[in-house]
Amino acid sequence: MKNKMIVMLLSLICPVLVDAQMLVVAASNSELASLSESSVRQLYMGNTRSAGGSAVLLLDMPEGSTSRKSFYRRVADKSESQLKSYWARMIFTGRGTPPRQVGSAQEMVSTLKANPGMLGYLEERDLQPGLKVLLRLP
Amino acid sequence: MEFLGRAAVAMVLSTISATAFAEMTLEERLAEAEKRLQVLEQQPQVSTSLDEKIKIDGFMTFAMERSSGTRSSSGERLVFSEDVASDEWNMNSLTRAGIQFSGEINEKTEAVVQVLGRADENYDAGVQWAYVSYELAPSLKARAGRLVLPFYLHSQYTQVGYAYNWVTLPEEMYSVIPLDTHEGIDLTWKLLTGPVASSINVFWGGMDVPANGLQFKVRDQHGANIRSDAGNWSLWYSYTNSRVSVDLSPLAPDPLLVPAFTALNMDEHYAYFTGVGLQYDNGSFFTLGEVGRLDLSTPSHWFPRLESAYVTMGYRIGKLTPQVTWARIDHSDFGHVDTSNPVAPLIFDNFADRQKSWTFTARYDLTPGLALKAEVTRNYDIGDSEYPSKGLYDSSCDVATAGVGCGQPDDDDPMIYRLAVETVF
Repeated sequence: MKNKMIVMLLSLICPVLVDAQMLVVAASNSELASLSESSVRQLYMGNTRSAGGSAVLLLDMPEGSTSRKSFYRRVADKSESQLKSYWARMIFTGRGTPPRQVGSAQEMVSTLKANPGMLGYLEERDLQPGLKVLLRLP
Repeated sequence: MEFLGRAAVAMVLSTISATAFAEMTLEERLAEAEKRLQVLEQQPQVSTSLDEKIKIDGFMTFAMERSSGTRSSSGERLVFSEDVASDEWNMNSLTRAGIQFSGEINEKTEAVVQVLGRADENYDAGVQWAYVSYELAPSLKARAGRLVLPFYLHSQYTQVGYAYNWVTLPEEMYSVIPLDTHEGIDLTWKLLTGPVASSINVFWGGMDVPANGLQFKVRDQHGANIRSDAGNWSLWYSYTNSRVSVDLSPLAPDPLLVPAFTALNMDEHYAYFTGVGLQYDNGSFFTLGEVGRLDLSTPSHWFPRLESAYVTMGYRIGKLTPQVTWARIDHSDFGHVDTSNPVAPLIFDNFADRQKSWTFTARYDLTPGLALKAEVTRNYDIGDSEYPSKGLYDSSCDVATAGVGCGQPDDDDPMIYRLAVETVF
């Protein structure tokens, strides 16, 4: 009984641990060949809007999804709440707007395929032909 | 989205007539459905609809605060930082809501209006931000209109409580300058040098500010600030310079004293502010601190040099973030006051703030976009025997007598309690 209480308490205060291989991807006809982890971080944190000399549009997985959680945990070491508060700072000072959210991995794939100027991320299992892996996040 | 996928399959299937189905095997039917799905998927799904042209973002704070009922030695009730007046919960002073509209005029031009309503002003909405921005180059942006002044690390979003952990930003630092917006232009340059992302901003403008019953005219307000982020570290530096004019005669408690007050009027005198901030945040542990210095070149030197500082440390344990802050404000330069005008040292006293405080804050992130906060502040070291400052406390007695003889807080533990619900949407 006591152990159960401890587990319950822990699960209340600990973030959900997620562990899936995340890939940064673009359409196979994208001009980008590869990206460094730091440039992915700069792009997704709104510090820059271009990579490899050209402007890119970013896609984000839906808020609350496990892919989004593990992507930002790896790239920026931020939880969903921290991200929300980070973007509140950016939005309400006119410094930037967060990436556009798609509804699902399926929509991520189809939107990327149709728009070579866009950048997104996926779990390994959602990778499809027609996409190019720009970075594998450890 | 899986639901949408299924719906799409159902739609595709229903378009195939029942008679056709009857003649097909199950495999043929599936192949047909898949083929149509692929066609659907290949249609570009990027919509440039109205909802992307105008973006609406909002924030709201519901908060209450009370003091431990601090009084001066003469029994006068003291007001902390112009807001926290009594030992009853005040639900108006911090409660506020704001809405921001961002409209894309074209690919390079954007208009932003942020409207802010405060409960203690009956939600009479005022405009906090209203500017047009133009992208001169991919990393260079110019803005013109009403802009929030970038004095401090957090000054651009002081109203958006969700964006920081405190209920109230450290008063010793953030309540020193009574203005937060001005009319002007600015230029922001973002640059990436290896792992360091920097943003360099220069601005110019002016504003008329009513404060403490006086009308301050601020002109030629210009300055620069740099923010650099590298890994877990952020560095902030800001410098501001302006020319200030103010007529002090409304402060004279007696018509006979008016000439002595007007002799101290500011007429395009210079004001300077410098701020430096440093932040470390590894996702769980964080620490940040700022120092700031305000100087006004006033006749007879009636304004003290004010120096503020704070240090905060905290740790995120899942949804709970406890943090502790130490802050101080102190003044100097009393030796420079020209005492041949007896009013000068009196006004100096009124602005010569000195106090320290410990603040403990707990933030609980209920869900992304909604947070609860509780905060306790204990003020201490308010003035000393040599210089009896009132800290950030004031009383009605100060207004009537320009701060003479009201006395210091007579309370061993002057405390401030605050609770807040913060949201962004």
